[in-house]
Amino acid sequence: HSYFAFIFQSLSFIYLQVSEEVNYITNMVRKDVLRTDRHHPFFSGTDDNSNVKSLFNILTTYSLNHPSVGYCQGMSDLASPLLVTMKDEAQAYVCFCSLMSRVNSNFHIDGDAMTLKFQHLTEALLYYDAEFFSYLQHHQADDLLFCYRWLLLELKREFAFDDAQFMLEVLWSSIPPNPPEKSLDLVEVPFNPVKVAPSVPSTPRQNHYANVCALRRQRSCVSNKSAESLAAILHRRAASVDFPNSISQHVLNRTFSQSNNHDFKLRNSMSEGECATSPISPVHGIKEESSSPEDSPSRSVRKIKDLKEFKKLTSKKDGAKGNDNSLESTPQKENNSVGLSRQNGTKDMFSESRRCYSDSDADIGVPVIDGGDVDVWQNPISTVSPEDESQIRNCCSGRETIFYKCLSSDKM
Amino acid sequence: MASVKVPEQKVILCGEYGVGKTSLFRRFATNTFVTSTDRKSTLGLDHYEKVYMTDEHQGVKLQLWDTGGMERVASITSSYYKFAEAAILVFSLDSPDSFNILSQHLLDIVTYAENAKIFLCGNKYDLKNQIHVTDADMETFCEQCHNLISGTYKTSCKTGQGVEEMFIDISKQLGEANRSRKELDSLNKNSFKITPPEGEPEDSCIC
Repeated sequence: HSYFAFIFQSLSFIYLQVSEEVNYITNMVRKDVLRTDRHHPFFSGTDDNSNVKSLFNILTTYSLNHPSVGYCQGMSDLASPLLVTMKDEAQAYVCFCSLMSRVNSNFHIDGDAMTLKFQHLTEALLYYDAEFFSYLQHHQADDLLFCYRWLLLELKREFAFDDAQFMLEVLWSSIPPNPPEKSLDLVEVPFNPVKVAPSVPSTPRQNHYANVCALRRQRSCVSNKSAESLAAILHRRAASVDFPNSISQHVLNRTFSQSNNHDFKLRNSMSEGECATSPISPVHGIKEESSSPEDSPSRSVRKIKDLKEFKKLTSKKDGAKGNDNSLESTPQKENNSVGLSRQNGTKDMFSESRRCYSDSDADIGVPVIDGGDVDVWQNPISTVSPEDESQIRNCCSGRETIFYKCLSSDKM
Repeated sequence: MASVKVPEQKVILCGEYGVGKTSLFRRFATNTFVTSTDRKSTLGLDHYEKVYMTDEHQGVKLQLWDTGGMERVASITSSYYKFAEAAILVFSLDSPDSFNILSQHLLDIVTYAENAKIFLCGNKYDLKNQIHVTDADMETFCEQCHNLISGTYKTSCKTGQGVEEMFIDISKQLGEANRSRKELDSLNKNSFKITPPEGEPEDSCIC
């Protein structure tokens, strides 16, 4: 009796896991298909439009059978013109699989392909229009993030639907053909609703720890930079006052041990591996998170004997990671005036805070330089003027065009 | 033209797909609302600035950032959070799932933007008979977060209810934080002043 109960339990557990995976994907897909090209007569009307359902089926089927890709926002935009053209769910699915075999890396969790595309775009822009690039740099937009949607959707959303169909046809047919050797794979790993899939698609959430750890590594470098700049400032100050060393030393001591006289301690540095695997439960971990030593180098209270030692400490770049991780810290958040002054130091370095440009959303594509004056919702190319058309033609036919290069650089 | 320098405060929107981040953004930017068929998923980044007067003389420039679909590019995620002064955790009052996942977003905020003030915003308040996240749930959440949450709001982007009030309140809180930080700064500056010990330097310099 208990044996059966056990079997039943484990089965229901498996069922729960699988349905969780299905739920996760269908929830995302549902939200997206309900807001994909609903303007077009093909998808218009109520939410139970059968074409919307077809789009849902295509994307869910693809995501469940391609666990390495899963579902990612933007895929619905690529599937929709295929469905409108093929007018048949199964055929559109085949087309979608074929298209995705070329572009699936754009939707991968690691983001490597997109990062590479941004890199290519930067290089191309530097080569073809260095002046424009320096303009972008001037406005802190040289990260080119406003091109994200252009690159991900191959410009699909930047045109009215019918124009986009035309443009995509020209664009896709100008890419050198790369047919599959045998037949096109419609499935990467067949989805098995009974067994737990061996590789559950990793979602951004599941990859969270990796991200956090990468970020920490990045940040410990940044905090070192800010410490360095502070050291430089203090050094200059001490030099300009031109007092004996004992005084600049005094300044340093005050800077780093003002509110508390905690001694500067170096624990045996915790290895990064440990830091990476230390379990942090989401809600519970927050307190720990916000006051954990490696998280708050800026708040840590240190006492440094002399300028030499301080310089030595701050000049270590990568080696200092461990130090940053192991500095004793106090869990005060805002009362520590020293911490604040240091944080401001960091801010000053970057005070020209980054600007990204309006690209996102819905109906728009106008870069907004300073908010305010520009109408954010205006779509510059919702209808194509003759000049634009010739531009598009140039864009599509010229093999040297920047976008063409970037779009076709799918291979790493 | 004389212009008064208004401090710029970066405010970011965080939350699950489809809870209404872009709707909030649109209310903020143009005070409009579009029907579901006109909506598209957000891919990319957008930001918009607006000045709120916290009192007669003092204004705060809120710079609201909206993003979506770029979770897969790690470098973008971190630059989105970087230097945020405030973060609005948005969930949909009719969807417990969107509420329960907030702890993840909260974790993101405290790691990527450790100094940001955090606000909780329940959207879609107009769906009166479908509200599944209660005030008690929100309170419990705030307690669990050790009072990291600086304010909770219920809004409806459809009707516009509570949206403007939320941004006004956020700008007030940021204005205050800004002022107290300035005071601390000036205190700090003064504390660095050094008066040379009398007589000593000359003596010690003679070798």
